[in-house]
Amino acid sequence: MSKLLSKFFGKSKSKAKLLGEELMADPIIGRALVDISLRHGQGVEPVRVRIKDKVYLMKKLG
Amino acid sequence: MNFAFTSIIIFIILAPGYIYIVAYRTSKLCIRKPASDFIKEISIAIIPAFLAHVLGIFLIEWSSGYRVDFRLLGTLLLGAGQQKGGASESFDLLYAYKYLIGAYIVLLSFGCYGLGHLTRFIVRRLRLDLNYRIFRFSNKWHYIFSGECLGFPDVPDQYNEISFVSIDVLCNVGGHQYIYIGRLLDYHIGLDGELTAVHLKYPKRRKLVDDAVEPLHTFEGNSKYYRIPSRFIIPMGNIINLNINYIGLIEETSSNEDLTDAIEMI
Repeated sequence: MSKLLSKFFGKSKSKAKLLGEELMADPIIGRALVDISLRHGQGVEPVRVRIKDKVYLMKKLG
Repeated sequence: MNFAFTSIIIFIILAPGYIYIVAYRTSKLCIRKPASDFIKEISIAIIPAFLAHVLGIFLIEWSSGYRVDFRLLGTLLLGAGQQKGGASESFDLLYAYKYLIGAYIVLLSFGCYGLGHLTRFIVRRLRLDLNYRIFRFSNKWHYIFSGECLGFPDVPDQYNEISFVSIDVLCNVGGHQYIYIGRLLDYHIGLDGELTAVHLKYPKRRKLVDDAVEPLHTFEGNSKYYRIPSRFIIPMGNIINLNINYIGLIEETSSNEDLTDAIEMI
């Protein structure tokens, strides 16, 4: 019951949103991600982006 | 009975319902309509006010055993009635119970204020506004700019997959058409619910006519692009149209995959 309540009243930000906020907090990464998203915005195929030691899959939604 | 007095009584009776509606709409999801809609707003408050009074009267009768006398209300609303001295008796009762009646209305109004916020919270949490049009809030721009429109039925992908929103704004500035590209930071809407400005973070711009000369998908070192190193507000008067991109990011955890096709940034 308490788990259900904490899920209902807990924070509502998704993992993807939190990840976006974390990356966008760095202006250089933020600008670069916007550039990449626009460059590949025409296609629907996801793009893999390496930032430092991590790889992210970037996908245009909707 | 005086028409103005009856109106005041009706307003006091409907006040908890109106406060419920106001609390439900007190968020960025709702557009604040001008005061000309006041009568309409009051009409909408009838059902919540009725339900609030049913609940309030039930709680009073259940907790105190006091029986609410509706004849008093009927006399005040409809007139003196047939029996002699009906109005004066009602006013005497009203005077005698003025503090209790006042406390009832105030407490019910506070309760309705809380219930209004709670109802909005439940509607949002259960995503009723996304799934059912009847629950949808009046600020359509919120659904568009936040990407929550992806949560509407029959729309592919999901709102919770969005990591950030980038936006292209086609503007008319001094007779030239420019495209501003950047991350959407905020937006502003007017009293009529229409967009008045968009707020971009670190945007860049280019002239639309340059699109016809060469493909402009490369940003770095491209002289056609002018970077604006700050936050930038574009008023709606200059905007011709908007292109919104919802971008999702997923961190890949597998280290064995071939990374040669990955774009290296930093």
